[in-house]
Amino acid sequence: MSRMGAPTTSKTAVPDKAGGSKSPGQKAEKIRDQVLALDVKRVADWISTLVKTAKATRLYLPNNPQLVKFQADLESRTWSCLKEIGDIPLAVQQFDFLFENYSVYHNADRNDSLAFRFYADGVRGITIKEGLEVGELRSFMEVLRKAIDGPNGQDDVVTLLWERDFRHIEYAFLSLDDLGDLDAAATSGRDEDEGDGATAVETIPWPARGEEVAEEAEAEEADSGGEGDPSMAAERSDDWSAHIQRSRTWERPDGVQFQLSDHEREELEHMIRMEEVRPLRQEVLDIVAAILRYESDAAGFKDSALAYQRFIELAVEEGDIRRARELLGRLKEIGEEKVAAGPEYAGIVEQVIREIGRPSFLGTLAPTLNAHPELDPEALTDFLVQLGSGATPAICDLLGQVNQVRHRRALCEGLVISCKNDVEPLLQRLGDSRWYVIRNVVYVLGRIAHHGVERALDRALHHEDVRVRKEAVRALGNIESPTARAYLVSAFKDGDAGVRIQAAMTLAERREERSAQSLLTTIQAPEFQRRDLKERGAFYAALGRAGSDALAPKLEPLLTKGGLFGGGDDDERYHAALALAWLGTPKALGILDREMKSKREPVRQAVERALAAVRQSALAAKEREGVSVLDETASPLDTSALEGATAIAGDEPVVAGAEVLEGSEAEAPPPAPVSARVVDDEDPMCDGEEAS
Amino acid sequence: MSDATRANPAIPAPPNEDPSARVTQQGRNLAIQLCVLLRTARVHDVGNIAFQSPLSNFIETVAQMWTAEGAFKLLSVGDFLYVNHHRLRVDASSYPSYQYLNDELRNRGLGGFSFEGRLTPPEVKKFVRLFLDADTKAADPFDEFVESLTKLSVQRIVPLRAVVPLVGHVGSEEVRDSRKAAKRTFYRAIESARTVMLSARDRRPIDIRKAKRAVQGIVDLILEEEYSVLGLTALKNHDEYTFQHCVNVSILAIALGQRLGLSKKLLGDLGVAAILHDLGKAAVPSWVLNKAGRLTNDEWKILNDHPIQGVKMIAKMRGLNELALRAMIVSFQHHLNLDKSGYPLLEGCEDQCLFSRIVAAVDCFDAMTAHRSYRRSAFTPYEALHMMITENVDKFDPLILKAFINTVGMYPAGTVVLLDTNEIAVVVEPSPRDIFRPKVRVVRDRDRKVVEGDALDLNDRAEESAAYVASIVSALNPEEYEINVADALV
Repeated sequence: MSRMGAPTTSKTAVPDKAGGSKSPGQKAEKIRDQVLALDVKRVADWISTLVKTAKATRLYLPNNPQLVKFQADLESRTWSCLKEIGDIPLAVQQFDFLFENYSVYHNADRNDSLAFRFYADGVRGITIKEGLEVGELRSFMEVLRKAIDGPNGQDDVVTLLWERDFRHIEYAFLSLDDLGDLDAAATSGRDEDEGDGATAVETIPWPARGEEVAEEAEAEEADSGGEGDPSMAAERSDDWSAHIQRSRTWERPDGVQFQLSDHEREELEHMIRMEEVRPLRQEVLDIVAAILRYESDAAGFKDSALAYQRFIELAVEEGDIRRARELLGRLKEIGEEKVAAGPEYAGIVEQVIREIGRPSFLGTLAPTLNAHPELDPEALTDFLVQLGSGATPAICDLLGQVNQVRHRRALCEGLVISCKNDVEPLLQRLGDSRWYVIRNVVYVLGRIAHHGVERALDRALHHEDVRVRKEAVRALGNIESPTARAYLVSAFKDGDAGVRIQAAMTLAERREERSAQSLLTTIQAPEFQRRDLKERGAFYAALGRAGSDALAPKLEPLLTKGGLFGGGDDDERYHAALALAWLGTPKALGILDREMKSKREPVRQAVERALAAVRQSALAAKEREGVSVLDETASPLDTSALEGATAIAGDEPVVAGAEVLEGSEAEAPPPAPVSARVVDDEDPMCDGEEAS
Repeated sequence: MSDATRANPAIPAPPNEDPSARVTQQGRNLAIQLCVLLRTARVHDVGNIAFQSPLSNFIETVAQMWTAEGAFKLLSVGDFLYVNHHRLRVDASSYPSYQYLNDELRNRGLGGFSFEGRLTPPEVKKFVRLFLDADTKAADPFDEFVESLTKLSVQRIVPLRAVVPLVGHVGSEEVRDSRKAAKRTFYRAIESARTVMLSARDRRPIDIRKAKRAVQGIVDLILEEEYSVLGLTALKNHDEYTFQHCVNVSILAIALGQRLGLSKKLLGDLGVAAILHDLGKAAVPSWVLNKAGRLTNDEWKILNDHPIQGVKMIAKMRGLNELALRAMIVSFQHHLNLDKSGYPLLEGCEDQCLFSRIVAAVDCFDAMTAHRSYRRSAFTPYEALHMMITENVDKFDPLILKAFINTVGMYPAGTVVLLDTNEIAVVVEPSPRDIFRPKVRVVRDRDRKVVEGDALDLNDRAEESAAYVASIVSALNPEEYEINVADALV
């Protein structure tokens, strides 16, 4: 490695073509200029591709087709360049790369410029040599990628290049001393002028010189009044006393015993191979865990626990959730073992766990989860549960950032378990500005079905976003209380038909008289007739599911209204038949059986249509459950197939606990480079709310 | 050779024990300030406010020296700087400045300056400007420089022409350059070790990048078989023991690792892990570290805790990459001993990995050869090696020990030896060819007079007889002969 001289003046333009050449020499000059111009352009294009590919490796997963394309293009250009030009020497200036004194790359943005990164780390020249191998090019891309990451990376560019030991890439760099010259020139005179005073303050004290200590030892001996203890010198573990006589020379044969035999060389090679594949992380973890157990005071334990925390965080950052879970479990075990030593140890462990569960850290999990749909959701849930309810805010934030369905499910599961006995952290998130966060929280509350959250869910029932209101309806459906029922009934007045239908179907699941009564009251209200057909059908179906035999006499007149010559409302007739079909009681079936043979065709048709609809619904439900299709020859009145069937309510199933995540089974959008996108079940893109 | 040097009055007499600490200290300040002045002037115009402070400091120092000594000279001879006849001692912090000045002077054909009176700011500014503008590619840059100073009436800084080195007085240019590179790398490494240790002591974030760069330099030297850097490990500077010890261990570990066949990447990791192996001592109170007498049980416990403290400190470093993990393991394991007689012995963590075994061996060697508060004198390298392979052999991996001996030789650098020519020499560098035949520098002739010899390779043979030019008869105690080993090594 050599030092570069003073930077040369760069030219930014491609060399001008010479004027009309006259002599062979001038012609040669012109040709040289033209060749140079081509080379400069070639190199400039190559660097542009290089930079573009390096940036792409940060944005895309390794197997992304776009990235693969960039890499292939880069390789092709590289070989072509090297073939045409030979070695490519580049001088590095503050914002430029120069080739033959022409700028082939310029970027003055310190945060973005590759040249600046190289320059700031002391690189002054880099040469790509012919014979560059594919592996070397890829390794070089890795260096560029890390260089683009900026000065916060772990290694400077020189170290990144050095470690890779390239055979076909050479580089020249300034030493760190020279690099710091500019700063040192301004400050070192002052610092060095302070001379030994400053030096003395800065050194870590160490044993004094031998002669000074000899005096002290003599003084000590005098004080002790006796002979000095000859074993005093041996009291340090890293000390050895020279109490044996040694000859002052080696005999030749002595050296022989220190020659390594072939067997010993092999053994050493084996040791080196083992060293290269050592499971370092596990080994260090074992050490840190052993240190944790060994610590006998809280301050030391805390220090060690913080070290251990780094490993858990590292596992999370790398997306190794299983490992993070395992490490967290181990930490808790150690905390429990130390309980006998004092309560402060458990407190320290709790503190570490809280730190891991903080939003600023756990939020870093979102891009990892989005990029890795294959991650084990069960491990994720377990890990989050271990973090306790303190991590609830962070997990709620994650819900807004994660776009993989199975991961969102896992997050919700985690919340359900963690907040089972303490819903307060969840309730606090109901005021979030992001509707999708509220909806997910409502979903979790519904799963927990904690009595006492009805009022909070009622607030959600009045949220401006219909998706939140629907979820609130579902959630209320899980809570068996009069209050919940009352709120569900209030949803019959919602401004959105889907919400109203959802409320009706949810209430119907209770299959109780009071619910039926509420539904009937709504149906009988004058304004109900102004609702659309689908909604009215849904309410009647709900009525049928909720009601009992007492309802049949009230429905019969609606079915049979009118005479041979007309009268009555066909829609109403059909709805009444539908309700009776869903009712399914002997009385209801008796009515349907009788009216199926009615002389009035509208009545017969109504019954047939109603029964067909119910059958259809049952079939669909069974197919969803994977149960074999109903026997087509069965009597239309055969209601056995209706067991467990769900009523149709708009487009959404009303199974209790139906997941907010439905509909988002569609392909997740391509992972965004920096921020995650929320995927909603109705909108594939979130409402412009991209999480950072 | 010594007669030749004495014949030339321009070359100072061989370095004496420093009779005037004040002169050498002021000389050190002068050299450093001159370096700062020149470097600042490269960046800022001499009229810039940033130039004023170095300018004032320099003028003040010259004034003090003028008051104390009258007219005095700052001289550059070989790799060293002198004030009058006093050689300025090199240490880690001053080395870069001295090197810079030596190079700048050499480029201009200068051997130094004579200061003939108190200086004024305008005079110094002119001097600096002319110095930096001097044409180093001219046929005789010295003459041109003198002429330019005369034209501008700069009279109180008088340039001195460089002394043409006598044949054999200093080594060939190539050897000198590589040794210079070794020294530069060595001192740079000490500086980086200092930075790391002080950061750890002050609980500031530890930036390991500088240490990595320093280690890379060491690895490159070792891979290029520039073993003079090994010789520098025999320098023992008490003021900087802590930091130098870390660097010595790193150098010895890398050399040993290279002998074992570790890859370049692993050598780099080993070197950094070795620099950090005693990081935990930054957490040990100074009164424990400094204690001359017996340690109590509690004090023992504190000291024995340093491997664990080192693990915690390294864990706080940014990024837990492979290097940091190795460093943590080495910090924890380097005092375990192969026979598990060391510390800390925690259940499930009693074995030493390869890196730890390497560091354990070289750590012991370097520690034994340093002055300690509880020992009257350090072991010579020869004695230390002997101790390790006889009395303490169970503590170390026998293969590693063997390889270590093959690395440092049977007479490690810094050993004072008697040659069969009846001269006394200091071993400056091991030889990869023969562990009994290192490179030495003769420091006492047959009459026991002080000489400054070139490095002599004991593998060399005389042309006529094909016999070895010299062989080692025995190792000697340097104190018996009042030999300052450092003078031969730097």
